Amino acid sequence: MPGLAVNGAVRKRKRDDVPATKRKAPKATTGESTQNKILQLEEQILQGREHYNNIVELQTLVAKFETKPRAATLAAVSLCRVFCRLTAGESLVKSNSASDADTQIVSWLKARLRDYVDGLTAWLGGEQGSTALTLLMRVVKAEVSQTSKRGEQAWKTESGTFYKVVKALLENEDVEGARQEFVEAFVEEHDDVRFYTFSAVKHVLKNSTDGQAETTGSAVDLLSRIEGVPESEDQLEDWYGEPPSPTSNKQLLSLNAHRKAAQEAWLAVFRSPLTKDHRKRILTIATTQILPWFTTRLELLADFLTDSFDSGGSTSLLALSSIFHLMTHQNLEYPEFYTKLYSLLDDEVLHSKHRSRFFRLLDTFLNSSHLPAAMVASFIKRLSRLSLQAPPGAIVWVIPWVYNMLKQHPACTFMLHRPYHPGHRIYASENELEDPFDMACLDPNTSGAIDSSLWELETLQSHYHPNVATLAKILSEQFTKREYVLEDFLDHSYATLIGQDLGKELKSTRPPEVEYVIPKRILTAEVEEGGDGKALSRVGRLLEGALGAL
Amino acid sequence: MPPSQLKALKTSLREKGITAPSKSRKDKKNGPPTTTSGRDRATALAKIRTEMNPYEYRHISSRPAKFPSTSVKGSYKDVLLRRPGVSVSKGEEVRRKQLLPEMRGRLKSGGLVDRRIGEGDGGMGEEERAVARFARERGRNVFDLEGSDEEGGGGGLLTHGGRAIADLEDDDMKLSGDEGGSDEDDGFLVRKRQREDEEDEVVDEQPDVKKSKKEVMTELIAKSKLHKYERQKTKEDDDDLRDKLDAGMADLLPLLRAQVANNLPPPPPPKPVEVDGDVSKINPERQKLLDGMDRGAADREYEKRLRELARDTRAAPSDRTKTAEEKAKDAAEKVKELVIRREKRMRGEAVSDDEEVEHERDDSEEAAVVDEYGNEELGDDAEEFGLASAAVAKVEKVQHVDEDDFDFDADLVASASEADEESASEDDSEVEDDDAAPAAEDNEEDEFISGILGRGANAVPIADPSTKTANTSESLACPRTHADFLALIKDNAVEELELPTLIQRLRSQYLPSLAAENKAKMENFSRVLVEHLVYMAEHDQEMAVMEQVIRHLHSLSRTYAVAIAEALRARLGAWVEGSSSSEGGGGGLGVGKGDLVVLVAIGEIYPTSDHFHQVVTPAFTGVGRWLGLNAGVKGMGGEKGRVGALMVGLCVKWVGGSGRFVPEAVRFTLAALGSRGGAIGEHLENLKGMADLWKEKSAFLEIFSPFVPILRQLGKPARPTLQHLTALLDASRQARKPLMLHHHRPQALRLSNPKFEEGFNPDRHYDPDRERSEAGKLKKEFKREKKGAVRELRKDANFVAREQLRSKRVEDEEHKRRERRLVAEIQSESRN
Repeated sequence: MPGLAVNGAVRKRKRDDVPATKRKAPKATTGESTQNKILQLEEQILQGREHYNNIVELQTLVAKFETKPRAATLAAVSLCRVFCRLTAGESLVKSNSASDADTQIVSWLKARLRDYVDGLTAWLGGEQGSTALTLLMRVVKAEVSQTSKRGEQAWKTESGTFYKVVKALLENEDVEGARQEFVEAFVEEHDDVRFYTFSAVKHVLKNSTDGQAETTGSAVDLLSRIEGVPESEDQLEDWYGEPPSPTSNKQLLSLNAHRKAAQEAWLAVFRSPLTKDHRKRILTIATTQILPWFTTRLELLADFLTDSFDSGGSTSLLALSSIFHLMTHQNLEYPEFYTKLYSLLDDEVLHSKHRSRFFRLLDTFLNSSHLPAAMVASFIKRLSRLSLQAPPGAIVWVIPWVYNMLKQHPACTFMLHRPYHPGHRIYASENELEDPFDMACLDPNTSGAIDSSLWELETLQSHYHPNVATLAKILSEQFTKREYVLEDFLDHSYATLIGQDLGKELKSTRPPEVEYVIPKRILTAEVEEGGDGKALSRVGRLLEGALGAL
Repeated sequence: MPPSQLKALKTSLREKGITAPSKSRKDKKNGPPTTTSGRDRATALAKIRTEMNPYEYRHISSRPAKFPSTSVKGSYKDVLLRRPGVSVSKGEEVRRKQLLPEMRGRLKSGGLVDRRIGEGDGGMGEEERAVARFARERGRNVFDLEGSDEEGGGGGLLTHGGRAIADLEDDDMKLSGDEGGSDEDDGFLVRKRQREDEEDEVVDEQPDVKKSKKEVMTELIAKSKLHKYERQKTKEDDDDLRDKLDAGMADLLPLLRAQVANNLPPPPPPKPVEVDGDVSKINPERQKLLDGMDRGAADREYEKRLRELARDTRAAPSDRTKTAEEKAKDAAEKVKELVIRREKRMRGEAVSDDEEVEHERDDSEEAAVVDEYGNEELGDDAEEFGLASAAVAKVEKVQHVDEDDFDFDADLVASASEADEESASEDDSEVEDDDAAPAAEDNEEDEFISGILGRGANAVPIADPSTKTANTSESLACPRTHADFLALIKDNAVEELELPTLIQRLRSQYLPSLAAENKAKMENFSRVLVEHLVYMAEHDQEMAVMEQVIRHLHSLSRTYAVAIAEALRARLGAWVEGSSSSEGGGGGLGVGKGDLVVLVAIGEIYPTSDHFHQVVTPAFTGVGRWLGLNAGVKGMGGEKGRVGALMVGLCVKWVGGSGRFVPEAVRFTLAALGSRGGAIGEHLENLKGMADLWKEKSAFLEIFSPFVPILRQLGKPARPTLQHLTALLDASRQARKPLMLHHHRPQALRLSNPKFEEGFNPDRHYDPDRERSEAGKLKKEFKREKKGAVRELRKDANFVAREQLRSKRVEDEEHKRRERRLVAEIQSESRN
């Protein structure tokens, strides 16, 4: 449409002249004039087809985002209004009876719309991300609010604005803020947005080939933010587009369809290459946010979980709770679960940051009194051994846990008190005592721990921290308490222990004890004959070394 | 079922022999007539009648008779029955006697009490009264002193309110409330008891056989002779005793003089003991005065003496100077006591306070009870062991020190320090200075103040204070802040090595005994010194000087313990929060140079073997934290290895006394040796130290076996350590025994209350709680008394009402009569 273009160009020139003459005018005036001009352009567009070239002019303004952000934003807003009106007015729809010129105009408009959407998606990562997202979703709303058939198409097609938005959210970098806003403002609020987001995510993941790791990461991020899971079909009632009716769009009303969409999205994520961090993130939310989607087809999730559990390390720890949930609630069969659990007790577990989470689960797993005593004894012994190098925060939990275990499995109390009897394996050899427990044994049922003794915990009775030492003494006192509430012992760390000690103010009535002998030498030592006069004691040498190193 | 009345009557009649059972004719003929004689029969019948009358007798207790076992043993009828009719009439009589006169005299004040014999006694005729009075008058003998108090109201007797004093004394106490005139309200019970008492007296009184005058006199004489003899005897005994004491005086005197030489005026020189000792002895001074000395001079002399005396007592040494050996012995004892105390603290025992421990145990029992009911929500299990939740700890940190009852650690420390104070106050060497340090410590203190420092023991060339005499003479300003101190150092151009001298001068200049405000100043200075120690470490100053500063801090800690401890704790807190390492150049290791030196200082100043210590425990936890956080990370070589070696070295040193176990130290050393970073030699030495320290631990094998393969890999430099360790491991394996931790006495089952009693008697109380049963008894008695009092009051009121009614009636009658008479008179007059 050359005429239109010329017209627009002429206007543009005119417009350009005005600021040129008023160069000295204050900036606010310029801004206002720009604003007025944009509004004028917008009005003209809505007046008739002959002004459609104004769209191009506005888009050039939008494109100048780098230099004139304010004007660009204003232009974008008005363009959004324009496109919404146009869409609502069905100007973007080819009708069968339309003339050739009309068809041309429609496809031209569609191309402009694509340009506009592409331009805005580029903004998502920047400062104007929020505005861009809002504008895009406006357009989406206009698109999907068309009569049912076309609305549904607008959700689904790859050329639809919605798909483009989701794709941009997944593939662009630095769009975390936009993703969060997208989930909070749209996905969580509207059931249809969520439904189509899942399917869009699935398609994006399927289609993407290059830079997959980032895309997957973004997908995990996006999906893990979705927290609301509908539990019944009654809850499906908030719609962004046209409310579905049983005749037109019935899958939106079916809970199973929603589930299926979510499952497919997640499965697409599982199939893509996952980094360790992504896997951990998924596992952290698995029980609360993923499991509910999979209520009907658990086996799909179970594979992923068992894979994670078998991979070892902290990933296993995280997979534990989901596995256990599946085992107890969904009757999942996991062979050798306790052997696997036993193998998780390694050097790192008492130092890991997921310690309290693991402890909580471990207590749950071993809480049954129907477990074989030999196995429980192995767990006790292994944890005791590990606590010989553990931080106080871990020891403080292990000891009352052992107490509770011993209370629950009286057969294990021989580990604390074993009077002489020839039947005991530990008394088998004559002069030298051999520990029947084998730390290297992988099977908790045959490790021989039940024939051993808990020397480790007895040693911990002289732990350097007074509270830990006192706590450890409960094991050699009478077991009169029914059980300890382990939750109280879970969240202790160095920081809390020190904070507790330092938190108490000193009182002048109770001054701290002072060593009564003032040593003659602390850092220095007697100079030997012929020495250079710089002899240091051991502490002095160590201190010198440390100070020198820092 | 109780027997019917009729049956009971029949049996009692038969028992008394009033009605005989029907006899066979044969018996009638042979046996004597069994029926009793007429008079006996009458009394027996009367008795039976009263017994069978349900209104004449009543059971004392309302409990039915079918529980005969329940109450007091003894003859059943005597004790269990009472006669309400009789007691009522008796009470009435008593009331008439006591209450009626009171009532009549109620609104009257003053007046005359007629105590003449027979007055007011209607039963006595005029004649009889006169006779009785005459007999009384004749019986009185004016010269007979003993018999004078026979009758109250006698002429020679002291009286009060018309009554003999002797009589008054008894009930003075009881009637003390009467004087306020409010006897109406509170006198009743007492009065009742009085009445009862009087009745008792009447019963108890026995007819007194009157002694003749002669008998009385002989008795009197005998008595006085006996007294005289006894007096003489005691006097003789006393004399003997005095002689004996005087004989030993010569031995005793020198001792006395040594002790009290300055305390007392010189004792009189030992004189030959005067046996007949009745010669009047007189003070020579007094003799002089009597002899005519000038009065004023004597007074002056007296004043002088008095003042001297007063001064003497104050100046007198409370103890004689001790010899060197005694001093050494005392010091040794003191040290021994301190060591014992330290060991107690190490075991975490309360040093002297039994009460607190008791209290604590009570509390824990309470907690246990709570748990038994399953209300675990109520108590935090962890808190019992001082492991409050993190949130709580933070709150505490803000300000509120929650005095947790369970926090035995704090208690222990408290009791220890209390004991300290006690022992300090017991110490006789209470100097004016309030730190009350033992003598040995004083000596050490001197070292820091008066400048022996740096001469003998320390070979480090520290400037001799004597060379700086010019400087020493001018006074220094006590620095308030660290900046002040640095300025002071700069102004005086103090060399690095002369710093101890400066501190010494400051300390001697601001001795707390010199001025009142010096204490606060030195307290501030102690804080400054802690800061300076950190500063010195951060500026890489001389080790020897740092050592001296630490020693100064240590000696200052004796007096300013709280200030220094607070400064150190603040430093620790900053380290833990991670704000100190940045300035100290920690290089990402989370520890600065200043922190390291502060840790070294803490280990030296405070007893690290204590179970809990306000400064050492957080410091130790901080060290453990550092070791724990840095053991896992890679890059053990270089600085981390060095700092770690120091940390582990500190751990080993700190637990040297108590043999406590430090898991983090083991882990770190294992990691350091395993990664073959720097400072292998130091770590090997640490390992050896740890192994020696913990060789007695039952888990020695488990702790140290992981080191063996690593040491093997290290090869030659580790060989001696490996050999040492292997030997220790073998020994430990030999010595190891299975655990036997539970040789406890089986726990007794809880006794429940009430427990089962054989032959349970509902009237008795089986409460094992003594206090409660006593309280119950008291309550019961109170209730009974109250009830009795109320009943008595009611009866009294009834009586009073009755009497008033009667007197009113009498008055009315009188009035009517008079009226009638008057009317009759008037009528007759008018008729006339």
